Amino acid sequence: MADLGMRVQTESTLSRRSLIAAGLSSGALLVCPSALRGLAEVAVEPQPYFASLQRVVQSLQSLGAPLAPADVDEIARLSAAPSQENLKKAELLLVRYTLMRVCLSPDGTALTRPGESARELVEQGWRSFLIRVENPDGLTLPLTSISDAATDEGDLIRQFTGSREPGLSLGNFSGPADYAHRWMGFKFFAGPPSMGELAGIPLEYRIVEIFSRDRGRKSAFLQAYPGYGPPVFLRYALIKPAGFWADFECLPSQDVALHIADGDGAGCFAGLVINDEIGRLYPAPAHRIEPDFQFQPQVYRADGETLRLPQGRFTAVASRGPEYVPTSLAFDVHPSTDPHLRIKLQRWINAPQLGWHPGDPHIHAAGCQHYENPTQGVTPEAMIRHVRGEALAVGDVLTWGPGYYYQKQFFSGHVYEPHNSLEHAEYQEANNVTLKPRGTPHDVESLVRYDVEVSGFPSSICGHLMLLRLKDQNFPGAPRIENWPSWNLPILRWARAQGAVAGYAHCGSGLFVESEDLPNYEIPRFDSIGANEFIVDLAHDAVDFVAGAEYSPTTELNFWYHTLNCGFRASMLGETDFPCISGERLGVGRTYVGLVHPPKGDAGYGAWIEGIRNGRAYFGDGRSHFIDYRIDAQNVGIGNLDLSQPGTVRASVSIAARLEETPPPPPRAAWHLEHARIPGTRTVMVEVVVNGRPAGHRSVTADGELRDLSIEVPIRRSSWVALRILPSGHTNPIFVRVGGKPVRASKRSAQWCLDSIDALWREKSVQISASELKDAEAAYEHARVVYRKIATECEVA
Amino acid sequence: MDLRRSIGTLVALLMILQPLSSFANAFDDSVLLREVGNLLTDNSSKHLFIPEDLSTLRNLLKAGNVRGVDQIVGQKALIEVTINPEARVSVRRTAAPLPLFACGTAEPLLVRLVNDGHVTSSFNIRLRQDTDANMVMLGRLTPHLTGATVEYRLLTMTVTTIRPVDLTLIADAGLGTDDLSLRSQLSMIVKC
Repeated sequence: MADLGMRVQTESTLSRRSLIAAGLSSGALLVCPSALRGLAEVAVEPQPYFASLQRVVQSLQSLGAPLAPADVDEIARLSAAPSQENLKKAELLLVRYTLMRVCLSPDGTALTRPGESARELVEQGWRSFLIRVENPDGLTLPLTSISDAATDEGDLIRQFTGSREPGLSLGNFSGPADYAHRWMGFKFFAGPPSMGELAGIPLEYRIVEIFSRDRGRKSAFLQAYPGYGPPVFLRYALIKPAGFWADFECLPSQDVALHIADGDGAGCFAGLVINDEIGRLYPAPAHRIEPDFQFQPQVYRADGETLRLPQGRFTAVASRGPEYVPTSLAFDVHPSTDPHLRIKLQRWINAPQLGWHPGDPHIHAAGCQHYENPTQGVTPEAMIRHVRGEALAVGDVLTWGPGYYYQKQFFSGHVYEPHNSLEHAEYQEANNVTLKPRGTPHDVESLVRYDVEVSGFPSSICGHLMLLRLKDQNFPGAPRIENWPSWNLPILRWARAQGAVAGYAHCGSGLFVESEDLPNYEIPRFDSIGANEFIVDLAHDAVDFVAGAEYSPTTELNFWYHTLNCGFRASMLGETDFPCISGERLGVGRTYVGLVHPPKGDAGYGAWIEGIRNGRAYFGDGRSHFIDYRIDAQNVGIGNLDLSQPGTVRASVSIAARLEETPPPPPRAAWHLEHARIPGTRTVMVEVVVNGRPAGHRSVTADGELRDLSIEVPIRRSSWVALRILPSGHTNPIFVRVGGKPVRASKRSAQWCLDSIDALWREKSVQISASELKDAEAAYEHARVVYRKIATECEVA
Repeated sequence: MDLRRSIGTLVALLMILQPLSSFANAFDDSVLLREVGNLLTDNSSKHLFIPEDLSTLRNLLKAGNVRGVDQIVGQKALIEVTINPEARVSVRRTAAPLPLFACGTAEPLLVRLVNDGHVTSSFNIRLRQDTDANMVMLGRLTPHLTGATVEYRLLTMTVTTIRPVDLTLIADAGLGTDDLSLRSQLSMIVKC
């Protein structure tokens, strides 16, 4: 970009403004003589310099605008041995990424000089640059603006206070005309791990991201402004200290036509991760508004839609959930051609075609990683795109504490009817979004329903409830969240009385113990937000399920196994708690429900929910599948298998799992088939579990092929029998009754439940409101009576 | 533009005040008053508060003025930790200035905890592994949270380097609670 002009400001008239500027400049020059000489030695300790620099490198990575890989490696090498010599080497390396060199004087004014980075922007896209800040007096102000031609990204940034009623935006721009005058947008990156303020060390780097609304050559007067003060237009009108004029070349972008086909050739949605040759992500994540989420690398696009990209070579990785093999392809965008991207997705298993329909019963449209400005979370139109893009049949969007009073408008008591539109037109326009949503033939396979998670409510200390298929989302006599009960049983009774199916979210949270045995008999502290009151509610026949596939399987399964051993029949589901426990994508944890017909409309959703209630489901990470699990002729989730006397039964299933041939790096998620790989092989172990203990196993090649498998299982007394591949998938149990007796599999399990009720009461009673304490105490006591009776009925210690 | 800025400031003030409105029950109030009462009996309170503040705090405690107590103590907190309703932990530096560390002396740092998840799990702040423990040491925090909306913890930090060192602290509230997007980490520069 050598031809791009740069002119240090030279005002010809000796105005008051220029006098002030001259004074400021000379002051800054006295403090920062290096501002005149270019790069110079600055007295700085190497350790804080490199620690700060490492955060900058990491932040650039998270912005999708990394340094060149060789430079990242070099900085890592230099950082490993912080020294003055290595500091100088790092400084030389950073020159070509630096747009501006700023020197702060003690009074907080700044002198800004040009850096040597290429001044290249992209139309309707973002570029990230470094600002080198000399700060000899250790000021800890933030940098707050760069030019009077640049609009602060302002409200279009990710913010989250977790409030039920976060402050509403006052408008991102002071009007379309004002916005039209400012062709640049900017944002100082201040997200973790970087800090908003300067660290106060003599030399550090900050990241500025610059947006260009237009294409072609554009000019701007660049001047960093530190600290808070008057509005931007006043800053530059009253004092225009020494900065410089810079010309930018703004590369044109183009709409790339997308052709996305599923394995059957019909159009569908897919998740697309688009990188350029140096790894930058498109669209730039930090500046996305719905339906694209800032915290994900991928965006979801439908067949026939477009994606705006500048000229260059790109890589697209397309996926549609764990039932698909990821597809990767390179493509070019060039102004002389109409760019197209053709993607043919490939399924390795089609569970819905086999009668098992995946859903994620715990996703959120607000809170955690969602922004709460410019809107308090996102709309159903955004959520349905993500559900379709992950090939989920059902997505249950749960309104909860953050943004509750805004989000609850989307509850209707029915399945949502999408209209394929782009919501919040004013923000889309301000962000120059060109996407025009389209429908696809596969869209009918996915539905979204709004319901409630009792999280951020008074009873949340007793565990977070998922209330699915509600008809009415407002608890009687509770106009505000604060008025809801402070324990769960009254809420469960109210929900189930209206036909809802109810259970506990992220069941393992607060139930962690030291032991890794399954089952184990340690009593957890019940000190967080998982399935706390569950064991009490079971004794009142008030709860249908627990949900997990998020934390350690031992933690999540141990308490469930104990309650199954006591003869209770709550189901277990897989969920994501998106984007709280995971923001990676919907359906990280999944539940597959067996249905005769695919779930469509209210009736289909109802059938799917009944499948949950009846336990006609398996759950996990979607990488292992248990199709048509049965014992003898008895299918899972449909009644009992009755034996007149003890004997041997046959557990049968069509099973499929898929590992890559070469093991990838260990995944972070606790539930992931990769953890089940038998070292050095592509096989995993399938276990049959009887009353919580393994009763047989088979190894299975995890090559994606569906294989029939059967294992003989001796049954000595009434039992529950399930299949599992830990930590990837687990079926719900089939109940085998011997001589018509209920399951009473372990006195020790019943005792575990009794001891847990005592621990639970100690932990929770202090936070139950005084007016409800008596009822709660009575309910807990009733539960004790139930478990004591069960203990006496158990034949096995 | 001026009007917009003024409205913005007003909204910002309202948002700052918002957490105070969450003092909604007697349990929360009693925990806060008890903890601050305990804090004042600790020797470190002389490092944290000027005599006038101590006197005011004692009067507010006697009067059971929870908001007043939180306002004064909150201004001294260097670190604010938020546990959201889904038990995700995030941590940030407040505007309170870092103390001047005397080399080798344990300096008390006040931590304000906003526990919107009302979890009673363990809570800890620790140095990231690659931070040089020879230069900075952290004291241990009280092991478990009370479940109250707001509580305070004293963290002690001992700095033994006269050269500025950039350290990273990590907060957690038990297993599986680290926030996404690295918000449970905090970096700061210290020296003695």
